[in-house]
Amino acid sequence: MNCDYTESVSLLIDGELGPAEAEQMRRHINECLICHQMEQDFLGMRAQIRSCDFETDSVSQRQTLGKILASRRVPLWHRRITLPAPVFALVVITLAASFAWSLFISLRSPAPVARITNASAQPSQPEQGLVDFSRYDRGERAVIYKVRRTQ
Amino acid sequence: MKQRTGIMFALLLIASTTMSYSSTSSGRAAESVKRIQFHIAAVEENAEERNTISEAVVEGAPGTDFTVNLETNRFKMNARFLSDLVSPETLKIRAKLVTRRFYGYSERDVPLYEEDSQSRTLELAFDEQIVLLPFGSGGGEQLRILITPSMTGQPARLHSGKLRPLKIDILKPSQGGVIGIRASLIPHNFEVEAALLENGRVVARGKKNCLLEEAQEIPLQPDQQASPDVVNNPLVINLTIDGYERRRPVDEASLVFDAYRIDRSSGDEHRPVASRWAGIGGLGSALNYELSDHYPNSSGKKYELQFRVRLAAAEAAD
Repeated sequence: MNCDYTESVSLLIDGELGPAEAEQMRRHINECLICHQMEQDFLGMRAQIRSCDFETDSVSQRQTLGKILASRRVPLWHRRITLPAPVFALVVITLAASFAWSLFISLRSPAPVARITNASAQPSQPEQGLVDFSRYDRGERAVIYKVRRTQ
Repeated sequence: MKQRTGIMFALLLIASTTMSYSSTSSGRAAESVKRIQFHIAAVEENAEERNTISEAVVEGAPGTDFTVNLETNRFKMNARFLSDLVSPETLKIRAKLVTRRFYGYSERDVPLYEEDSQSRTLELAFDEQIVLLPFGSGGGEQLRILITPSMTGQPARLHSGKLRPLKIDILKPSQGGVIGIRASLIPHNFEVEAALLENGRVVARGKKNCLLEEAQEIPLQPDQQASPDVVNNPLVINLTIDGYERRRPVDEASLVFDAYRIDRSSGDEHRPVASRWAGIGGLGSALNYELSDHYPNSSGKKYELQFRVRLAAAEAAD
């Protein structure tokens, strides 16, 4: 046995129906044995549930809450960043422009003219036994010429 | 019998006289070429005193080359001198100086050096001397290297005809070996024959005497069998013998050259054919270069450039 209105019984009990529909449904329940039985079953079940006495301890409560929250936490690698399309486009353009500019600078500019540091320093590996003629060296170009011998 | 013996004795006498005369004249010729000595002194000079810090003598046959190296912890100099006796009283000295001076460190701590290179040619009489200032001619204290040539009385060749060995005498060594002297004797004078071959046949040729490390222009004259392409585009070779290597069985000479053609159809315009081509080959052997793709070739012929390098008549391989 089946009735087309059995689904509406639960809605009536939950107060989900409008006044006209509720009145119509009550008249139908008075006439339909199936729906009447279903109403009794629903009401009986609700009374049973309400009569249960739940005693929960705080530890279990906390643990359960933790499990619920953990199951809701999304791992970092699963998280999503949501940006509006114009903002995302701006970020992409900025990154691309920065990359292109740094590439341009590195290819265009010649090897930097060395800024000389410590010009008076000695070579890092002075060779043993070599004489220092720096008192003659004024940084000039070598010169070669001929002269008539004096003697 | 007596007559025959007399004739044979006379012939023997004539032969021995001729042989002794020729050996005497060649010995005289060998004796006439004297060795040349170069006295090389490094001198410190200031207003008050002059101090010789090193002294050496290089002695050898005309054509002796020598190198003076100076190396300190901040400065290096390589001074190479090629000498040629161009007349009994005059030497031609070709000097090449390369210097390298420590300058400092870059931002990235890389050592920086200042380098210089220069060449000079001097005609030097035996009453003159060369003055080399490695650090320049600024006032105050100076380091000078004085090179004084002189002719010794000793013949350049031994009685056997071989050259007397080179000699370097270190009269006063420099402290720490900062100044080094090297000497060598290699031929300087070469005879170069150049030829243009058309399908393996010589159609133009030229010949010139070349001095080591001196460029010489060799025009190739087309002969009567040359084709119109060759006659209207004569080749000129600008060639330098830039090295000489002692090898066995045959010594080798290296050369580098440029070639251009004179385009008669365009007002004798010079058109390049080859640039900085080089090669090395044994004395007297042929060095061939393929020119077909670089030379006007209206009839699809094969053109080659060929060189032969020999010692000049004045030189003799030792």
